[in-house]
Amino acid sequence: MNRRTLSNARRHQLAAEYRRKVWAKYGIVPFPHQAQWICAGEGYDLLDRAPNEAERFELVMLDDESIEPRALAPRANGAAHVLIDLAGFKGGKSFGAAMWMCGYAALPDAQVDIIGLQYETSDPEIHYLAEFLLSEKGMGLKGQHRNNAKDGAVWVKLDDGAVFIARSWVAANKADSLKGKTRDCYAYSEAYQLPGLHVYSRVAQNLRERDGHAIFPTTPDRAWVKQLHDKGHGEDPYWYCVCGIDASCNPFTFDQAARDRDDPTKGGLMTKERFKIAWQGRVNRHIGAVYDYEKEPCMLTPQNYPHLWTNDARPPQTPV
Amino acid sequence: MTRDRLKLPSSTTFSLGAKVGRFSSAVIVALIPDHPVIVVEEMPNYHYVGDGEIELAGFKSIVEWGEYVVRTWASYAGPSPPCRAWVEPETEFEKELARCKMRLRRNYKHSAELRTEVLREYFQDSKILFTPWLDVLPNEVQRARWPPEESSAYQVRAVGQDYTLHALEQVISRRPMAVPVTKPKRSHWLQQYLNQHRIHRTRGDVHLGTQ
Repeated sequence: MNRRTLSNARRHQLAAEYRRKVWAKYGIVPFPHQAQWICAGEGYDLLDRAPNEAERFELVMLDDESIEPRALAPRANGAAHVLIDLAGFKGGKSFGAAMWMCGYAALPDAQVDIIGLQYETSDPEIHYLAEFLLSEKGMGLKGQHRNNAKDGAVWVKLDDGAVFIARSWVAANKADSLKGKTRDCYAYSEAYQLPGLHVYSRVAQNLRERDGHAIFPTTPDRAWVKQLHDKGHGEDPYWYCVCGIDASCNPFTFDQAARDRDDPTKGGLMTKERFKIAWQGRVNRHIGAVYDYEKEPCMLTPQNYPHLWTNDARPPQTPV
Repeated sequence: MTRDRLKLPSSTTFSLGAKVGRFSSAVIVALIPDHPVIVVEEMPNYHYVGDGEIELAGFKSIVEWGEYVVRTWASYAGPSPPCRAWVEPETEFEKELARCKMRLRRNYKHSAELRTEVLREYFQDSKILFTPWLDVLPNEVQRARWPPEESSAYQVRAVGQDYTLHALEQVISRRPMAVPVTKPKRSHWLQQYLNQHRIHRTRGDVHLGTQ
């Protein structure tokens, strides 16, 4: 394959096709939230209905392990390139990231960085990639898998050229070694642990040459994740966010008893805010805040309690 | 919206919480039947100076601050209710504050977790209101954060320089309740006369000699 003749659009198309091939071989059917953001990255909207006869569709697995097709429609303004998946515990975030990244194995010069706070943070993604690409159950490709976090050597390298490397933000930031590279994709593992959105903005230029993607699968455990959420739901189609994904979406790992042990309404251990984040994947603007305080609703004013104010403090009544 | 335009009904009672130390603060809450708890006054002996730092302001000693608290309490609650503040059990300066007639009531058995949870409940259920002239307390409430590695079983907020918030937690953890005022039913003038001049007769069995 002549590297120079491949356009970015063709690269994305090849990656998308190979992705489906890997899923079929390994026996993966994505959950709806995984399919939603992956399809958005490929330029499609996953619709909440069955497809018509001539429509493209994606198979999704529901929380009762049933599989159904969902229609796809071309996304207005094209593919999103910053993809955010905010889900609860064991919602399939890391698995979904590996499902996205495995498509780059089709490109011999693909360079994918998995950035976590430490090398160990990216263990799940590297492990899934090795399973999908190198194992017999997966594609059985020839390559190497190294998982030595102490030496900073955590990667999957395919013999035909594609490289998936785990990076530590702490180490890379010190050496400033992330800049000046060309990358197909940045996958931010447990993104909430990273210090802020600048983990993306400082390296975003590396994605320009290949019109690459950045993916943020994470629990919304820090206030700065709300920035991602707001951009993903904003007007810029470059960003896309799937959020509020309950942990029950994954029938293979969901445990109602464990949920009840944490549910504050059932005497569980977690606070309401923590439960919303950890089990329901909901972005809470009071992340980290102890008191659910907002200035306006908590203020005693002549508007809300006029009888506690003198006449001259009350608002003038509009004549009927 | 200033203090002189606040018109609290005669059924209002007040409660006081305080944090006493080098940096001290007190809050007065108004309790009106069928109303949320209203925080009407904050009395810190410090103010904020850039970057969230605080420094002492206005009071030369703890006694001077205590006198200010007692005066402010009297302006709300009147001269008769004693100025007694809920404080944490380890509070010192009890004798100094007693000189200015400010009594301390130690909040035993109300741990830090309980105080935090009760106040969280008040905010979540909209059972508490702030008056518009409060300055320090709303900022401290907004800035209150969990420590970076919280234990899910023991929710103790990260303690910083938030002494006014600490004072509020002390008084709210007692779940202060307004005392409902019941007016005695007014009886007829004849009934009132008879009640005042009642002839008491011992009832009993006449066969046993009682009259």
